[in-house]
Amino acid sequence: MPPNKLGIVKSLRFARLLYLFVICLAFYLLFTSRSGEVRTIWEVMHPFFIPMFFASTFLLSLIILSSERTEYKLLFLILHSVLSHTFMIIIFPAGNVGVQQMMLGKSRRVFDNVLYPGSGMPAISLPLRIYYSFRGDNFQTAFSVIFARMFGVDVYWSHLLLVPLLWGIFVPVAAFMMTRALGRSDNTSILSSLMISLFPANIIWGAVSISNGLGYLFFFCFIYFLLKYIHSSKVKDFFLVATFLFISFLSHYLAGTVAFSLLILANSIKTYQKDKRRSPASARFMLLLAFIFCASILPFALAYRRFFYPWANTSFSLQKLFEAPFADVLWSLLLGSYFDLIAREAYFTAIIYGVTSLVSLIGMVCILGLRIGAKNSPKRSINPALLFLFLGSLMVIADDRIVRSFMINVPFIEIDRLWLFRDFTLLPFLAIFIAAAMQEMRTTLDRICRNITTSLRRTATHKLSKKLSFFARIRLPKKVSLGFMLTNFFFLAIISGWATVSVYYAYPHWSPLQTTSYELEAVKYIKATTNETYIVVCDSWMTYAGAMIVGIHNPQAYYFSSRDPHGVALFIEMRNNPTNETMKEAMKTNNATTAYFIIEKPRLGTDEYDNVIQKAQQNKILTYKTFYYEGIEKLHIFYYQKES
Amino acid sequence: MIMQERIARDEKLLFTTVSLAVTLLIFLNLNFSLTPAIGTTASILYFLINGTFLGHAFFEKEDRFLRFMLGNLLLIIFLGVIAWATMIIFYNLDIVRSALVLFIVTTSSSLLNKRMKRKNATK
Repeated sequence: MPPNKLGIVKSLRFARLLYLFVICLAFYLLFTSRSGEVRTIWEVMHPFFIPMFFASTFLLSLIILSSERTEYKLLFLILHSVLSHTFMIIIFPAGNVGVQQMMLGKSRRVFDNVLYPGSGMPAISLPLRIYYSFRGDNFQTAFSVIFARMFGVDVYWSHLLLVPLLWGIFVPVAAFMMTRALGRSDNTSILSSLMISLFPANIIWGAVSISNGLGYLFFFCFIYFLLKYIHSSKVKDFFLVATFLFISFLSHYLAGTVAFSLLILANSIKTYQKDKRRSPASARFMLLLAFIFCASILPFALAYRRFFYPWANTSFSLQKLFEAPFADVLWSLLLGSYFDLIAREAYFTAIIYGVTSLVSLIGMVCILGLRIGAKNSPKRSINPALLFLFLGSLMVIADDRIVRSFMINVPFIEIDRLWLFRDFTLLPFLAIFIAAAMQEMRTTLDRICRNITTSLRRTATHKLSKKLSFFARIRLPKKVSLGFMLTNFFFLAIISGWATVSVYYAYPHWSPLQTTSYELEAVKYIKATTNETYIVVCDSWMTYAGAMIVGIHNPQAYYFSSRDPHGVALFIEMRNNPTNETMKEAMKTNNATTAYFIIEKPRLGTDEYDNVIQKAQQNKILTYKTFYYEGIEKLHIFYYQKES
Repeated sequence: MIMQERIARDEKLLFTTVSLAVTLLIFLNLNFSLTPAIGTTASILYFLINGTFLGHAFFEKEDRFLRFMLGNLLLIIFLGVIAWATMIIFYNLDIVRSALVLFIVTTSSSLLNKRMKRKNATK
């Protein structure tokens, strides 16, 4: 091997080892930040973690720009992506509090062979049965349970890790494949992979194990297969598209509906490609019609969801337009959800979430413009994949505006649900834009560097001192491209900084108290020490912990769901006036022999907690167990047992 | 990576048999010992063999690494869909039915791999 090449191999090997060391250190720092009582990850995050994350991203970017093999680059990127999606799982005792825990509650029932929702409702109508069967939580349950059984672990672990791991592994791969399908080099595709997997909305949706996360993931893979399908007419490619469409739909109806619209759009573009030579005007008109049809699928699907689910009340309305001031309506139509952020003075968040999409859109429009503008050139014909992505992102933007401004009672309230679909189609262009900017900057700097050196060399020998002549004569431009180095350093710093800021803004900075370690211990303790049927009266936070360990509505170990009005009423009654009579009333729910009542100090506040304990003792309710955290009393369990 | 080629060739159905044996091992582990170490080892083997089968069946033109990754993505999807269908049809996904899901996926992956090999040979 020539010495030059040997040196490169050695330095690549060193970079690999260094990156692995830094990423292991970052994981270690995350583990040391783990806490039993915490609100947000930033409360307890190790102070060295963020600098370490920046350093690891810098190293990763360096490896990406090097001549390292593509599979190594992807492998490191996957590691990085997994790291950035597992903050909540590692730091919190039971992952993020809320919906994902209720989903685990459903999976738990199937895992423990307790009950499956479908088995308990023979009297419901066929459309409703179809609706329930195709809900994303069933598909997620199937995943969690089958993986738990395969690996011989509790469903708790397979559920918590499901989305962050799948997302961490497959989003970088799909992003890489998608950018490569647009005809870009491996290096640009890897850069695109890094940018997409570290986009703030992508981080947060991939960090929580809910069916939306699965839906987005499979939708993203679907787009790659759709791009392949646009260029090919093989049955195998259509099979893959159909499979991923079905999977997106099974994961979440929103992902499925948008995927279905895009499939029709892709087919229309294929037809347009065939027809445009024969009759360009009619082909364009048909494409426009197809675009309008595709954009209307999601709003109509939402409005007519009531055919399957009679309680859905989404409908078209001009109410929002009449209620808001005209200027607000106009800005809202123009900027979409970014207007909400700006109106709330969350300028920095708006920039963090918006700037990349804007740059991507500019990149996409530039490429399209260059193609269209290239007269008398073979490049003039627009790549159908490019046209598809452009129309696809426009379609999602149109859907976003229709859903926001012309519909009421839309079943999703988060502002960024549709952003992700748009970003998946747009973000590859960010990397393409950055790669082009890097190339341009390198060339410019190189040229400037060469010009300066040449002019110095010319003038120095005649007019300037010998000292300057020495600097002019060194063959810097020939040995090392200064421009290249400067550009790389500049972009590496920007990319690493962007990724770090992106992670920092992706995870919430305010949150209620997460499920604590002592709440989990209390649920486990009751489960381990009670052989008979029991019911637990507690607040909604405790029901989350209960759902994770014994499942929701488990007839043997009953926890109400967090939204069950009966459960909420019983808890309020017990909190105001704890009596054995209320416990007896609760026991009727599942014919239990024991009832437990749980209160937690951080949830109620010290005064109310002490007050409830005092009242319960006055009313002769027996204490089952008290739990402490770091030496301070935190949780109290009361109980009542039916006399045999 | 030579290993990947050998798995894809699946001479005398050697790797299909190994994959079926792994399914049996997972079933026995669930029934008798429930050790994560056995489960994890068996599952890694399962993913290695069947992911390679599906990668070769559907993505034969991709690089080895990407072929393996995409094969595993398809495998995960097949596992999910068949597990979901089992749950919907039987209202249950207990140990026996989970083993059945693994068996169906293994058999289908092997058949798809064989079919593609034959198709490529005739080309």
